[in-house]
Amino acid sequence: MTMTTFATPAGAMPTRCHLAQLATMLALVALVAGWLQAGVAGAATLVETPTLAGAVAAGELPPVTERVPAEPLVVDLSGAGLSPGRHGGEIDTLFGRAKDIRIMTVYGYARLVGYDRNLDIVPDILKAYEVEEGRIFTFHLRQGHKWSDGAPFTAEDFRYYFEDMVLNEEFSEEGPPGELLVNGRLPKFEVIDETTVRYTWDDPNPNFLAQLAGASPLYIYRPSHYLKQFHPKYAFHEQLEAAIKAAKARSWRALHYKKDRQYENDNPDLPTLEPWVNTTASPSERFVFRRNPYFHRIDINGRQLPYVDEIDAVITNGRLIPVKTGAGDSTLQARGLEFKNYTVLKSGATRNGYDVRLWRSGRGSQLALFPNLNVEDPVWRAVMRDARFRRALSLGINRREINQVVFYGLGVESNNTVLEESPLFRPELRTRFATFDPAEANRLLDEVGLMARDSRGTRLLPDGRPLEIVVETAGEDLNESDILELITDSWREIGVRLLTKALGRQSAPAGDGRRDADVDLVRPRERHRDADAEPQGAGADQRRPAPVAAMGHPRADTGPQRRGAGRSGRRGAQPAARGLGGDHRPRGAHQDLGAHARDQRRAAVHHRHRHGGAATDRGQPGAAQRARGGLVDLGTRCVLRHLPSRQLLARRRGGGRLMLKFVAKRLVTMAMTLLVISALVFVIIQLPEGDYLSNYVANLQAQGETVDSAKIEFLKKQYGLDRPLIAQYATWVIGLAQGDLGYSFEYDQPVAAVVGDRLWLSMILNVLTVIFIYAVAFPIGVYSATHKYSFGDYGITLLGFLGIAVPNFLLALILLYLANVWFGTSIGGLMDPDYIDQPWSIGKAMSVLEHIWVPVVVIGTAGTAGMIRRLRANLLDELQKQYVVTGRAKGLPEGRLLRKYPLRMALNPFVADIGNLLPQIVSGSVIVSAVMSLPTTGPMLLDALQSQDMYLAGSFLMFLAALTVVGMFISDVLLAVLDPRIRLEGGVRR
Amino acid sequence: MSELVHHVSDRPFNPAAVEAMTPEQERYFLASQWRLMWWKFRRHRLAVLAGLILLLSYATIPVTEVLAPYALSTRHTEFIFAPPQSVHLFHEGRLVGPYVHPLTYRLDMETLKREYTEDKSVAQPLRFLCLGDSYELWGLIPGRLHLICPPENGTFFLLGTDRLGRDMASRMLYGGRISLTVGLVGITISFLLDITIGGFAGYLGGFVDHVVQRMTEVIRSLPELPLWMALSAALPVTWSPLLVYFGITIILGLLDWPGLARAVRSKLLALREEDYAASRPG
Repeated sequence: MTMTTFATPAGAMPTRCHLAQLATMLALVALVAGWLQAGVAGAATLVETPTLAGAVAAGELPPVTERVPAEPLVVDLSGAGLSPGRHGGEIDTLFGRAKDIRIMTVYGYARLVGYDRNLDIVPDILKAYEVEEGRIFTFHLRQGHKWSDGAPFTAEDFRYYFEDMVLNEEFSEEGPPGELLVNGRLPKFEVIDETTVRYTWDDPNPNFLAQLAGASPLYIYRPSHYLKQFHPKYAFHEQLEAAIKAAKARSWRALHYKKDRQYENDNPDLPTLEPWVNTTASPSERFVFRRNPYFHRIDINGRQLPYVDEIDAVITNGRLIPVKTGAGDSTLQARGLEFKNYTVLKSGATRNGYDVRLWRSGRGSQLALFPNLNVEDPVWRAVMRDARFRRALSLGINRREINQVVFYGLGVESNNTVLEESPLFRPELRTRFATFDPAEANRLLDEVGLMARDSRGTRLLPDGRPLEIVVETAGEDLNESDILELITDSWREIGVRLLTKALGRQSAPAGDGRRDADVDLVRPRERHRDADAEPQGAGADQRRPAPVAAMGHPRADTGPQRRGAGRSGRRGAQPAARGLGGDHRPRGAHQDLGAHARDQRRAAVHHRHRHGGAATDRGQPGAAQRARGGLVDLGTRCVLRHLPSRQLLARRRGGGRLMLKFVAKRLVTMAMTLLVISALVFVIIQLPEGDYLSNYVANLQAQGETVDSAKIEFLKKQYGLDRPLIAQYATWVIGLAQGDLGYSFEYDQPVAAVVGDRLWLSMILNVLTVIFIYAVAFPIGVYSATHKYSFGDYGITLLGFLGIAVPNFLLALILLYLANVWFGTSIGGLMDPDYIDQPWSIGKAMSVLEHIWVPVVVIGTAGTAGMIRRLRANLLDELQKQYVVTGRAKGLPEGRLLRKYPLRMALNPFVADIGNLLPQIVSGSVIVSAVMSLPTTGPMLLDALQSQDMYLAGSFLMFLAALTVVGMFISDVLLAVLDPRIRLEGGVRR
Repeated sequence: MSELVHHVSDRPFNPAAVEAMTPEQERYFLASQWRLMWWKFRRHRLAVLAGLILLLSYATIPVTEVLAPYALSTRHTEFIFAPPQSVHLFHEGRLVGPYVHPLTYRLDMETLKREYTEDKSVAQPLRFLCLGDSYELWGLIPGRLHLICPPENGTFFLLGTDRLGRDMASRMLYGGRISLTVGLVGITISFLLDITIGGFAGYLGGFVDHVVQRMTEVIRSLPELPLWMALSAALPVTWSPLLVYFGITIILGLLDWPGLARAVRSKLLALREEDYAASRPG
């Protein structure tokens, strides 16, 4: 495979955005471990990478012979039917959210030891390893292996982790990581020499290597030369204190933790051993990964791997990924595409020059339902634990139908079991109790003793409650809800009622154990050793855990696949790796998995436009002018004078002082209002069960990652989540008053730093929208009023109503499509991806202008329609008044008459509506921004709300509220200034 | 200069006799408020049209089950994402009454696209007042009678089908029933609140007015988004979608009052100052 083709083809795979999909991606990126041949034997002389040659010549980088370890890992691709590649090329890819950049750590799959194609563990970063008695592990490093910054990778990096982190009492305050413990005891760690380390446990540790080889591995080494600057044992006190302060961290430990996330991959300064190095600091919309010039693998021709120079990961709304991929915005895409996108992707394939390939899912099943065997309710528990009951549920699912409806009949109807390739695959497990047989299911249920039924035909539990099973689902994934709906129907035949609870957001209570769901919906992972993982309480008669609903993965199009690119590294990263590593939670552990709302989870929020008093205006022309805030207007009692009378002038003059008083008073109430709002906002954010950490833990577990309770304790303290709510609130509000927006858990940075540019882009977007609304609504409104009931009026009215009626997101999608087709504008975002994180330039500004009109039009449309209606109603009111008739009678030209009086009167709502418009636009823009993946505050707010990133969400909301309050204030003041008829509060009270 | 003779007639004067009104004028001035509103409404052709449609929609409510050709959740797994079937009258030059062409389904294995073709040679006449999917009218009376049924061994998807092969037209009828009714509840709640709160604020003024003003401001400035999200998580699991929708409507109704309440209040305040109010006795 040559690099030239690399720029175009995108392997699109019908996979779900899920960690478990990584195996497929890895195969695509050509990191197949089976091709690894340890040993230098056949390696030719090393070839310098062309893109690095310049730096080498300039002396900035040592030559390749010095960069590659003395004993590199030689990858032979020919073993897998591939030919070695050439250097060069870039990959553009799309991620659904910034956190997904950790996937690069999985794609790269540089581990101490890793899985090969046969799921055997082989050395990778390590040159070799020895295991004695299953408890003594000796690791040999490669001579001359270097971190991505050129510093040597030695036994010291292992020692630093073990002695300065694990054994450091302050650092491991909550105890050492559980993965390192065998029967509660840590290993003995020895540095044998510069390249040899040894871990010795008292008892065998069968999980150790598996943990090291995991997709999300246990890292037992650290770039000590980099991290020592954050460790009090090594760093100068003052410098460390300054660094802690600068990062707004709470302790050196928090700072160290933040700088040291090898898996999350979010610190561009952190040296790595992975093939690509992240060069972009979070938060960003575009992450650039460059080749690691010190990577330890080479191909048989002596080319240092990886072949690909750069990977550009653009962060976009997960829902836009299929569209953007179809529009050719991605050159290699695995994540974010689903089976159902196949048709769309295929239709764009020839136009945009990419390939779409069906890829086999790494999971045993698309969807599995796990009855909660540890459910608290004793009656339910007894029923759930009866294997016959679970078999009946499984038999009651019409997998054939699901296959036809959702997977075009291309799926394999199956239980949730391992893939055929696995040595643990047993064909009978695939089909056992997996055929649709309602008669047998009914017989089994009768046998269990669930004979009684209610009027709806639903069976009754022994204590008389109906047999209603609640499944919690993210509700966003149509496939999932479709399948559940089909199951609901087929279970009805066997007298079981399935209720689906769509969760708008993750709500997984951690710790309190109370849960409503009877069945957990789990995106199954490949579980190679599931058979051994049978929980104690699950009933001995069943060898395997009983996923009762399981849908086979779409059959792979298994023709010879051309690789996207020859690439270094190895496959492996079997998602199973996680399953292998002592991760066999008993069924009951699924309790805290919750429903798996994750990346794709976007709040489905109904769009309700707020027109404030508009309703009255539209319906009832009399109430044209409205009071606002502390103001009262005189409504229809219009005493318009040609010239201000003496009386009026006097009032105006006296108004100066009044005005001042009024403004001062309003400012005070504004502050009060904001304070009340802050309390409300805080309460609302806290309303859903759980907090950020419980969400975080649930998310991790949903993806099959293990979570260390010690780490959770640590985080809880760090984030202050262990303190009472009142104290949390007080800290936040006092901070807000001082301009400190708090700390974002999600990004592990101060909120101000996270928000950054977004705030300005949001403001620009909102201001432009207001201008758009005014610019469009004014002429149209006037025309519509002066040509009442004319054809044009009807036409505009119709358009206006359409604007109100069409959901914003739909309009957004249509306009995005049109912009892409007509002008070739890239879909989503506010600028071309190339400009992200670039300094401002003319090109960037142009690109922004090219993109920004779509959201402006979309957000503005609804507001425009309302504004037109209001202006029209007001103007019509005025036009009917006596003075207009008088004016006409006196022979004033129509245009002049209109301009001189009624128009001015009718303009009131324009001014007044700033207060109405702002909240409407702001909340409208949140959703539109999320749909269109704009780098504004909207999507960030949604994410923050969903993950309960308290201070980030809270500060955003306060910002929005402040905007509204200020908007109302401005409109009040403007109204008072502009309209002499409006009395200031307290000014006159007869 | 002779003085100008000012002649005043002392005959009884009836102004109505001079400005005799035409019957039309009389009709106009004597018309009741409702009648005036009706006339005004009638002038707005768009509104009349929209009103008719709305009335029609409401008229379907009691008989949705009969009107819908299919039941709410009848699935046709062999017709997923089927296009709308148009109704024809004349087949090959002669009148057969309303009929549809049968659809044939093919899966394009290349693009995995579901493709449907109409078989133009076959005319399947629709059936009227016939037995079809069973239902319970108003949740009480079981029945199978439908106004329109699909042809024998055929399908009738006036608006096509959705991703599970359910008839869109039927589902819209069922869904429309809920949308048309539940919304009224929310409006009623918010309307009552509007009038009460706004009325008190406007009538009493002073402290009450002040408190209401501040409350209004707070609620209006409160971003709605997190509220929705919190609500969606807070509603009970076992509620049916209908109940959830109902619940949300009520809550939205409870939160929706500030806008109109302000209008009511300002209107009242303004009216208080009107001459007729000022000239009240006492």
